[in-house]
Amino acid sequence: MSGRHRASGGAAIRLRVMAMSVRYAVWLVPWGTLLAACAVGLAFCAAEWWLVLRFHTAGAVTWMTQAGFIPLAAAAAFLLSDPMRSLTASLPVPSRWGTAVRVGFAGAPVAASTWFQLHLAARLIARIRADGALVPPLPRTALTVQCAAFVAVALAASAVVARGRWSDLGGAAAAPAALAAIGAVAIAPIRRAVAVLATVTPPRAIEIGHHLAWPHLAARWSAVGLVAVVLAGWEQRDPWHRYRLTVLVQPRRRCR
Amino acid sequence: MTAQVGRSPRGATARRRTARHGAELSGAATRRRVVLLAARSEAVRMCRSPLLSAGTAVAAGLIWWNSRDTVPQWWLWDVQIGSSLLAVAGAVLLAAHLAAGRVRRDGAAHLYRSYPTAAPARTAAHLLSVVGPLLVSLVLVGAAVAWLQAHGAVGAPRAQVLGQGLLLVTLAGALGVALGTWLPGPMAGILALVVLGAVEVALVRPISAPVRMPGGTVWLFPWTQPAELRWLPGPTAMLPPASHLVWLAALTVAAALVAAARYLRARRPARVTLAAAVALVCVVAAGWSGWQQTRYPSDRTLTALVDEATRPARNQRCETRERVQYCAYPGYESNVDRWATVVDGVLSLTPQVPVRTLVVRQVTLVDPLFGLGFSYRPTTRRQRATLARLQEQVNDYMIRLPRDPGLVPGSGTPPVYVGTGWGGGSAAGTDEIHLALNTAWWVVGLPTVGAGDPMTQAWGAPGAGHSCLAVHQAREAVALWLATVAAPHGQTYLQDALSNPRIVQYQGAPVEAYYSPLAQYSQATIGFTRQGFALAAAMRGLTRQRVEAALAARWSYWRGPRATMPELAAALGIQLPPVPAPGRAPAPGGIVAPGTGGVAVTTEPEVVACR
Repeated sequence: MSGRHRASGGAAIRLRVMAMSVRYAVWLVPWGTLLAACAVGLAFCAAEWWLVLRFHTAGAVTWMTQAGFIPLAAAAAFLLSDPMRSLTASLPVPSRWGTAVRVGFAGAPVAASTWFQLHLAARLIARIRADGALVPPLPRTALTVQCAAFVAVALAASAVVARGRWSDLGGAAAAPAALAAIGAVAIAPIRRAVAVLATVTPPRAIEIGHHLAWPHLAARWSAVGLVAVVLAGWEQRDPWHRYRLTVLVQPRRRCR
Repeated sequence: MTAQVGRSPRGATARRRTARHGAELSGAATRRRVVLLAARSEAVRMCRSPLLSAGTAVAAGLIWWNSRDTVPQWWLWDVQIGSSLLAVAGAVLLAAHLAAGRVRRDGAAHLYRSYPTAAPARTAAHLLSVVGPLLVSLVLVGAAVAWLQAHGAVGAPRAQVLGQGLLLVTLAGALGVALGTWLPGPMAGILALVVLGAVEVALVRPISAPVRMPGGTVWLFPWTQPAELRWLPGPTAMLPPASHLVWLAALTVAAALVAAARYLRARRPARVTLAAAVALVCVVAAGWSGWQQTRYPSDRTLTALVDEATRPARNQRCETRERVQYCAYPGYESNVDRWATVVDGVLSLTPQVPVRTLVVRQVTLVDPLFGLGFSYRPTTRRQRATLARLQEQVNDYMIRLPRDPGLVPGSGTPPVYVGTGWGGGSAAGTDEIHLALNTAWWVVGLPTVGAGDPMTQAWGAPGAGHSCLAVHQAREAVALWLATVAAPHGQTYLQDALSNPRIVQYQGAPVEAYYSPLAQYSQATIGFTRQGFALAAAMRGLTRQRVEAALAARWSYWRGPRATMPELAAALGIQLPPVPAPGRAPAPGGIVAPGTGGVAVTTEPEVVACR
């Protein structure tokens, strides 16, 4: 058999395995968790309507819309855990393929829930404005970017945990870590940090630092989301690689 | 028939009964021992959990962060410690949920069923294991109390409020075990944490929180932190209500019952009866405490709260130190030392202290009923009438405080007021300069509150009172010099005030003036001119001895309204510092709004010169 024929046969087998692994990847998606998270997110919307219309607190809309994204991020943290990781790692398909399939299938309900939440929030804002309240329109773009960043951070946390000693816990370990990271980014004084950094760096870096002083929510979360996506993608490399603490060991004794 | 001792049929029955009873006793003892050992093991595991470590670190960080630039008030901080413990409670909820659901999540239920100890014993062990995080929280609370006391906290911590904070941790643990027993999937605990966390963040946030619960229903949630606590002059029994402790305990027991109910079998009537009895006690306790918490405060409580704020002379203790009398609310004795440092600093620079006694009096500068409507709402006519009467009393006090120097009996002339708050560390500069200005104004005889003079209206703050302006008078510069030398940390605050000038009319000419509040959150202010500030800055550039000598030479003259700033500058041997023109002249009798570059002009009474 010629080399070209062997190569084309190998590619066909790989494609076939990839197609078969789709079914397994779909089975791995935590549908119950995702749907429960979407339900809780929608419950936040319902509570938002009640609070705003009952107590006339227009400031609750944006805040509760953002809070409604948190369950989605928590559910995303369960997405990349694979109880049979040791077996699936031996399949002749790139590890990123399974991840991409899972993210693709899970993305549909998450995107639908996000769109619905934003739609409800926008309608609520429109109703408040129609009643004469002076409130700004809903920043849909910024909030969409924020939700995407939340999910990306959760995916990155899930990917990192899958390689560590708590891989058996999966999302139970990744979700709290992701929520903590999201909270830290949300309250971090990024502008102040960049301003401080700019005062101790060379003039060229100062110029760059000023450009990096993003005042807008969308810019901050865009950057965070991008970093998280890169990290999650990088974590899909060699599936056999595991993180472990480096332990000081005694020097090996030479055999005499 | 051979007689066999101890071998009769009746003896065999008795022996069997004894053996069975002994087996049961040893079985019960074994179960207890297994439960205790398992509880200890689970408690150690929970204490070693990264979740609990992170929660404890966050709580400790919150306590440190919020206390770093203030002198703590215990009636606020024992609630604040509870709010900080919410971080620990959230971590315990997650950790307990993961622990309780471990068996079913790992698919080991059949394996554990083969063990001699039944599932209820495991549940009991998980519930008891919450003692571990509780001890960690206790250590944290103890450290926080020591830390705050070291910072000179005002008042004393209330054990029942600190106990409520600790019960939050216990409640979270019991809730986590209950969730883990029924819903072992980790997402259940996380979703519970997200929902409860969102609710608590909304209730614990200060005034800007978007949620306002009706009546006293806010206390039906595990925790809340009323914003008005920081402005009260002392603790009040209604914030938080003591019955909240019983409420939390009832919720904790209820959560434990829910956890135990999963494995409760009808074949054990004794246990079912016990569970039912405990549930009944729980319901009664929860009902009583729920009713107590949502009840509108009594007239006596509200009247005491308002009297404490509006009649300070009746409720304060006064202490005299070297011709200065300090009158403070109970618990604020430690603040007297801080006030005395500033006051003595001003008086030590004065060549001749006035003969009359200086009275430094603590006053409440914020409506004590503010925020009451967030926690409680009157439902009967009598309650509404009482609230209206008390609100009128408070409003009268708030309006008269910056205007009537004789409002509080026993205060000096002019009165020297200080607020209930005091900054800590570098943040104390603002409070120090406020008190130093008040004292310096008293020293030179300038009024600190409007003594019946026509007032200028504060732009953007109708109803506020200003003192008069000592335009071109030397005593204004002297007072500013006394204040800024005695409170050097407050100079930054005055520099910031310079960025917010007001152009006022004086005898047909525009004058640039600045208004500094009597204290933080006070609507009353004292005003000074840019010229006076510039001369005081020039005086600070001279040696202290030189300035003191010049002042001492004609002290009674410099204190009077006739001494002018050019005369003072000449006496000091310096040029009167030039000040830039105050900008576009407003219309006659007009006041230019600050920050507008002289664009907006409103018609106001002309500023009054101090006499």
